[in-house]
Amino acid sequence: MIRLNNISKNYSLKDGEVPALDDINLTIEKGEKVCILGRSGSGKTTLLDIIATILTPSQGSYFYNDMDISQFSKQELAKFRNKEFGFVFQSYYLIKEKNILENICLPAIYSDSLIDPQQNALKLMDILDIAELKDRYPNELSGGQRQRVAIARSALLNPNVIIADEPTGNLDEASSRIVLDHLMNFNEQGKTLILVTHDQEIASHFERKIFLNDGRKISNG
Amino acid sequence: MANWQNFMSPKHILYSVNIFVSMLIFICSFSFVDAVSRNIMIGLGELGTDLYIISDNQYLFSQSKNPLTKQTAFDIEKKLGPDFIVAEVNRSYKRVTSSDGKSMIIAIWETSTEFFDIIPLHLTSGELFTTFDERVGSKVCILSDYLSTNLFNNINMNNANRLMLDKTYCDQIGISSPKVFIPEYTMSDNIYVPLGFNIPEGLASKHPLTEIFVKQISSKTPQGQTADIEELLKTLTEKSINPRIDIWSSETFFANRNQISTSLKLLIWVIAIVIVTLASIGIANSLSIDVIERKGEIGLRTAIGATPHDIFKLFMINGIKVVLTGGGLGIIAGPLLVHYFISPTLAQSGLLPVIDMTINIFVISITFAVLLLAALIASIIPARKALKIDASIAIRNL
Repeated sequence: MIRLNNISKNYSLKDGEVPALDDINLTIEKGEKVCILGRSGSGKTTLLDIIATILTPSQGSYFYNDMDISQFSKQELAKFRNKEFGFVFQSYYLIKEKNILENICLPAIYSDSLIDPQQNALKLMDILDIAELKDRYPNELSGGQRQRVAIARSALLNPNVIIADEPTGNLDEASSRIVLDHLMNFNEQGKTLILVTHDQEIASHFERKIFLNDGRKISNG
Repeated sequence: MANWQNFMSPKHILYSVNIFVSMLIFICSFSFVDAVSRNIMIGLGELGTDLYIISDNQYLFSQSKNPLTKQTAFDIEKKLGPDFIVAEVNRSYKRVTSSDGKSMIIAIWETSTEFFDIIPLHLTSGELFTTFDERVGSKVCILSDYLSTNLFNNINMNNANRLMLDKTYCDQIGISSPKVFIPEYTMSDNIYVPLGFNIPEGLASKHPLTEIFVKQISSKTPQGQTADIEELLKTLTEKSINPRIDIWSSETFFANRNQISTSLKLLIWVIAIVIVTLASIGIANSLSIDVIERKGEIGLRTAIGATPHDIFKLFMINGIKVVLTGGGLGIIAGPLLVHYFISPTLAQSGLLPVIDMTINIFVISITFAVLLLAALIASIIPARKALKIDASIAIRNL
């Protein structure tokens, strides 16, 4: 499903080019759950952003269902991302001026999907046990509730891949457990789950682990 | 709460309030400067020159900031001899208020009956009337010498009423019918205080603008008249009256006056442009800060599928919404503030001696259009800035 060939990424800084990823080859199959591990600065987030197509690699090629993503225009890439990926971030990234229902429905603004966003959002809120929060605003919610809102948002348009960047990083143990359970449930329903963490306990729930060190893959799980 | 937040975030409401306040300041200051400049126009005849002598084919017109007396007029007439009739014309402006609280300004011309034919001529020629009286927004009331003396000694609007409605009088001065009916009005003190006048204390409220009209009843050449008057003025100088004198052709006089009028209008437009420019910079700054503050949101929206066009549109719509809301409300509230509060307050304080503040709808409309254009430009800059934001970096800033 996802195939990265010889992917490298360099960041241009004042002092020159800094390599973040070096010659990464990776294949992720549909429905897989993959955990990307590594220390801070190892390139986990860079790799995740490249997989999510919000970052363009400096070198290498990216195929999704055998389509060469590097040939896509910005507009095509945006539509592709909207359809194929759902995002869950460590800091939830909810828009504070919008209420919970509006936050969950946000991806629908940019979608051509025939899914009724409100109906689907309410269904997801029910599943994630946050239905009573629909009219509230993000600052009125706990961290665990916010992350469940973010999960609902990521699943709104029924994407094939859920991208989760340290989704439990800001949560206590109990909330982490709930969030992880929900993500695993989506995976069991056939969605591919790609999760970045440095937490070994979280990683232990994944059969496939990819370890990164200094931008290089040192283990493919 | 959800409804208005859907329309505009609290931050954008704050930006709108800024624009609203800018519009209020603009409308009030523009109206004030406009009123001040029109008041200056009223006093233009008195600026820098004591006596203008304007030669026409038939009439001479002079205007002085010195309180020329009837004696001066008499001296001039005596000097000019039988070819000319000379008379003093007192022009004053008064605010009259009706019993139901409505007020208006009237211009009162007092002169002798021989000059009644001159006054309508000036009024209908559009020069004096438009330059002074119409700009004042006044209704014209022309009094005879005899009646005016009575009026000024004992101000009584009932007399003026009768005068205005006197058909014989109207026929005599060439006005087909009285243009204004003033029912049950009371007249306040004379509100005309020409700029630059050094009026003895206590007289200021009653002192009218004094003009000397010279009517030629022979075929003597204008050059001759000018020479005669110059000679007379030399005599006046010797008597320590010492007026500063300019001699103009009527063409030059009005051209000069128009030039000053144009300069004042230009000044107003410069002020307008400066205010609009500052407001536009303010909008651009606010929206640029908005882009910086919403960097994370841009990243998130990009991640979940917003195209560059969507991001551009988002910031453009925000900018236009902010300007239209703030500017629109300002355009409604500004004139109301001027009309119901600032103008009456200033009129009462006497700061604007003749002309009240008025709302120039044309200027405000143009300004709003320019503001809208500026808002578009000001929105484009931050919107383009938003496009350059790297989603991968931005999303870590939400």
